[in-house]
Amino acid sequence: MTSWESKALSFINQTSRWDKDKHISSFLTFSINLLKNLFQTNITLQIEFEDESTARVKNASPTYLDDMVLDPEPIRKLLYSNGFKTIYWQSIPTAGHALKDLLQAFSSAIIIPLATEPTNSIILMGWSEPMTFNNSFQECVETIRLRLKEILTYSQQQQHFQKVASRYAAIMHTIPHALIFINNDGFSGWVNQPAAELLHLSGPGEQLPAILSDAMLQLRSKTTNAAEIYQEAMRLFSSQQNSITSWEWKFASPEEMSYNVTCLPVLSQQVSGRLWIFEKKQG
Amino acid sequence: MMDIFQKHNIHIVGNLESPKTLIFGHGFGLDQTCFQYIIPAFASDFKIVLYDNVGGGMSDINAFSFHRYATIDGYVTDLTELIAALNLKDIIYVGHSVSGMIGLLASLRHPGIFERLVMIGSSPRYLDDPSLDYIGGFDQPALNGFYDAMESNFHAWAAGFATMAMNQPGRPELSAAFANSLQAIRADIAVAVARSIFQLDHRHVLKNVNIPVLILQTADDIAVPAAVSDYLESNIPYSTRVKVYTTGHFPQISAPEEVISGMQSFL
Repeated sequence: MTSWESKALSFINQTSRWDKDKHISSFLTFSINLLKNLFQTNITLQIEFEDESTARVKNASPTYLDDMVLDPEPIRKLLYSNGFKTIYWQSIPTAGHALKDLLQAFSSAIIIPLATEPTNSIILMGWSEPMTFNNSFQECVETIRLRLKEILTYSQQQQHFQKVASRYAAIMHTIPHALIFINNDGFSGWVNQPAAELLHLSGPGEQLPAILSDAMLQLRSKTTNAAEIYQEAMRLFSSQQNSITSWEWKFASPEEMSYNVTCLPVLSQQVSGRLWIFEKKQG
Repeated sequence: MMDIFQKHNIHIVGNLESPKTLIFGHGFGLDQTCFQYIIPAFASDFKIVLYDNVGGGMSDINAFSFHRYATIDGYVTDLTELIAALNLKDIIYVGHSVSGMIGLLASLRHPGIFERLVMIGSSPRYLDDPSLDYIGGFDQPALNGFYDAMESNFHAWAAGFATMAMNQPGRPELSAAFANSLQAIRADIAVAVARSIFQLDHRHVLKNVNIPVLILQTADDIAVPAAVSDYLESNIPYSTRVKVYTTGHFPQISAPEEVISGMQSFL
């Protein structure tokens, strides 16, 4: 096995063993650092095409290049003119290319385009000394390119999911009503901040249905109209409509108050459960 | 590609035959007209380039990108593109407030093109950093409150901020003019740009600056306490600090003669 083949295998092995408990944003940083070490580069970085007027340097070594903003259009033209294939510059053109600001002091460079959604990137590696990019080297780079694309796609998807989850959690926690969702799978449930307070749970977010059922039972036991609530519940579970609105739960302590409770089935392709909404009644 | 003159509302004035170029970069909430009292003093000896940062003044609003200007690096790239497009060399760059740092970063990106740098009320970091005993003038809760106030009622915030930043109690027309200038910015853009400015930290590059730098500091500047200009002077190798005897963040407006005098002795 040639040394370039073993470097490609090493990259795949090491990135496969990346600790998934770490924050996802560090996965690409880890992978690009690994590239730097495997290829002994003098400059290694990612350029992400953020929008029509922004190509931003990320995960750079040397680090002072991080956050540098470049115009994306000339870089896109360069990639286009090379058919979006990896560009191997054994000798870097002296002028007239889109990356001249970054490659002023270098002899050789490669540019690896990574087409992913929602944003595309390139990985740039450069060397101060002239390099020879033979077939084995190029095969190694192309193997690594496939793995890099997987890593970038996975990172972007995870970051997207985290962002969506954070956004919906923030919205749900801001709703003043107590929201309790119990999944029919028996393994998952969710409460917002007001519900966590109402049910005296340790905190909002994911909760086991068993814990939620127990907490709701305790809440019901504190009501002053428990018999009425029980009868309404029986009607709910035997009715075809399978939902209740304007269901009153009354409490005498710590202060006299009542909640307008709604209980609705939640049905979609992926989710089947029940949503409880407790709205504090005014006056 | 967008015309760079239109994008930045570029004006070239002064002595167009002069080999020396003075570029003026304005700060947050202002535009190139803030240097109007300074320019005549240099018009016979220098080619003078004036421009508006994207998002401010008469720049092309269509060029604004929340990604590009999420950090001030977008403005640094704008300045380097402007310099390349106009084929400028031997530049003396005069940057007010954030533009002082924009000029400094551009000079590092393109060594040999900048000859001197004048920083008026500039800061490499506005946030305090207790771990390094650095005083920037703000802590994060204060800045968060600042952004919240901008987001909840931008026009009211602008009026209040203009008075504090101008700090010219005897000349209310100056703060009123600055308030008008701030209020002319689209509120969402103003908040985004304020965040990119007030969260910046470029202390680590100061030691790399190898051109002469003049630091102008006024008394009682809400945005830049004296400790910051001390820090700049201590960390930029060839720097000189001059105190301008006026209050507030805008000496080029409130005390132009003093700024001219400081610049003339430096140039």
